[in-house]
Amino acid sequence: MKIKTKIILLLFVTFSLFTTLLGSLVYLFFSRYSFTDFYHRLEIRAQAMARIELGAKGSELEAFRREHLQRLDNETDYLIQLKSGWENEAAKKGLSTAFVREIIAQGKATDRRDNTFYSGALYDTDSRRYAVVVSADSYFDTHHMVYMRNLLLFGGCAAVLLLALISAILTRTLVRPLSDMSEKARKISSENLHLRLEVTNPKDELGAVALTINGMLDRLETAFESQKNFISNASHELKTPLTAIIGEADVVLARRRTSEEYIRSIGTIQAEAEKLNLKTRAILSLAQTGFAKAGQKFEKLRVDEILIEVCENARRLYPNHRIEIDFSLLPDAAEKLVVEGNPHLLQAAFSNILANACKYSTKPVRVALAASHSDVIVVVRDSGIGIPERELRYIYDPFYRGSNARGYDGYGIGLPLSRNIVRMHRGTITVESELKRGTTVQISLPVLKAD
Amino acid sequence: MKGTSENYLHGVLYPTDFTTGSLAGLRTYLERHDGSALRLFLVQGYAAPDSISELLFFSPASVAHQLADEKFLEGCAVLRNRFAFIASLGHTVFTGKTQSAFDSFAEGYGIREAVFLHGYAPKNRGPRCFDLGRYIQDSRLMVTQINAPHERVFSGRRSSTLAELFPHSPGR
Repeated sequence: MKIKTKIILLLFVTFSLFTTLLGSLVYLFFSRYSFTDFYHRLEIRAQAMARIELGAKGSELEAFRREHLQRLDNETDYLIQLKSGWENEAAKKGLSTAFVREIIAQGKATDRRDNTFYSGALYDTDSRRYAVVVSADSYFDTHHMVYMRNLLLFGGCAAVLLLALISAILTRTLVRPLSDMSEKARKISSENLHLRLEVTNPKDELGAVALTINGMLDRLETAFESQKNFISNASHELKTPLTAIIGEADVVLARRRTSEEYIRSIGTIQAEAEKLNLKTRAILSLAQTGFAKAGQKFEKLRVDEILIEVCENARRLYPNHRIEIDFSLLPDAAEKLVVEGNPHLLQAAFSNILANACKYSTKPVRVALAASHSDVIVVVRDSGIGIPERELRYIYDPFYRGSNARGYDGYGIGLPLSRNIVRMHRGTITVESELKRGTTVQISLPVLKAD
Repeated sequence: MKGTSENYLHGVLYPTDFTTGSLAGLRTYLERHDGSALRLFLVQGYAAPDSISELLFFSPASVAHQLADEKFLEGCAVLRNRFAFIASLGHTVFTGKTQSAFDSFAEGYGIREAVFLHGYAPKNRGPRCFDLGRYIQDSRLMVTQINAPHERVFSGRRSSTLAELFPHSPGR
């Protein structure tokens, strides 16, 4: 069932129930009130009638009643002396014996037969006892109440129908942006991922949904671009050494060569094959680290120890660079530097980042370590060539090289690999860079909580 | 104010703009400190709203909570871990408009010393934020002058890393 139909039905049923309940209660209570009021009027009239018929100043009261009290519809007065044989008299006058008995027992009583209402009371005079009864038809009940019942019935039905109509119009208005959104989303495919949903009001719920979907489309577009970049860059990177190998082989096989020439050519082919090997191994590592940490051995380790080792290795690999370790914000408690991780993978992650810093900077590289309550934080900062701001979104794409990094060695695998490793350790990596001013990489790894 | 022994510790007001850059100055102050226990209050000036309805739901604590982002809090945690003599480190906003209001604020929090960060241009977040420098200089508090670290990591932009806590230039 469509949401639109659901809303209309829900409103229709709820309002119908509410209207029926309200109408029934109004009718019920009002009718009870009118009965009580009419019986009360009859009772007063019965008392007045008894005084007129039996009291000392009967004639005066009769005159007063004639002058001021309007006769009710079919008003009839009954006066029965309660002596032996009163039952015959009551039956003769058309009164129910049970009703008169109730008057005798309780002092007063009421009764109703069809549309005629009876009210009776006891009246004592000169040691004689009478039952006085007045009966009349209730005009209010026979006319007004029927009118009110019809009014409630038809008014309720009209209100429910009107509500159904209004809810249909309202629901259509409210649901239309959803339909439009769905129509627009249906048109978006891999061919036109740049299209976005229209956000009419970003503050309402539909606007929030549209913004969320647009955000998801942004991420999808980036992922698609990354995928395209990866394929194009990987093909290029793998093709280059292969082309060199094939070219060298073609050249050397074109005619007979001397042993030295063969040795030189095979040497070139070996070097290119080695490059190819390194690149395929890098892709393999990237693929392996892209999975969850299943299969990797994790243990308790101190990040400062790993960092010192990585810096020592980097100093050997880049002897012309100054690598400074800043432990000035190291916490007093050593347990705040303990994380759960794989030492080889973490070493690889830190080494890649440090190698990038050394590669792209001729100035000293600073490696700092600190710890917050929840994380061990490693900051690697260089003052090198930096990364153009518009290219920062692609730095984690495998084989992606910055436009200003063409003259430097590297395959564009280090940073994505490091990110995968950090993610495996439930950590985060942040890169901040400014062109020609340098790059800062911050890695946060969760501190191992003591049980 | 709580009636604990912590209240008798030395209270220090440090003006902040809730960026990690401002914490670099705090680091300098803490490095020079003699090591006695202290209570730190990182405070930013914030103009309270003029509208009564806004004022009804205004709370300095929630404003400070909104201004302090994750990196700033992480930086605070790093400093607390490093300098064990920090007995407490809280952040709030000062909403007064007069010197006497500032003096009362300092007295209320039991603050005896304030740091004046020389040569630091605060990166205020929004038009309501203001610098506390002039109130600090005119106050009766003991004022410690600290020169702001010369170099921000990347000028002109808010840094999102804690690198600003390591502001010393790597041998340029």
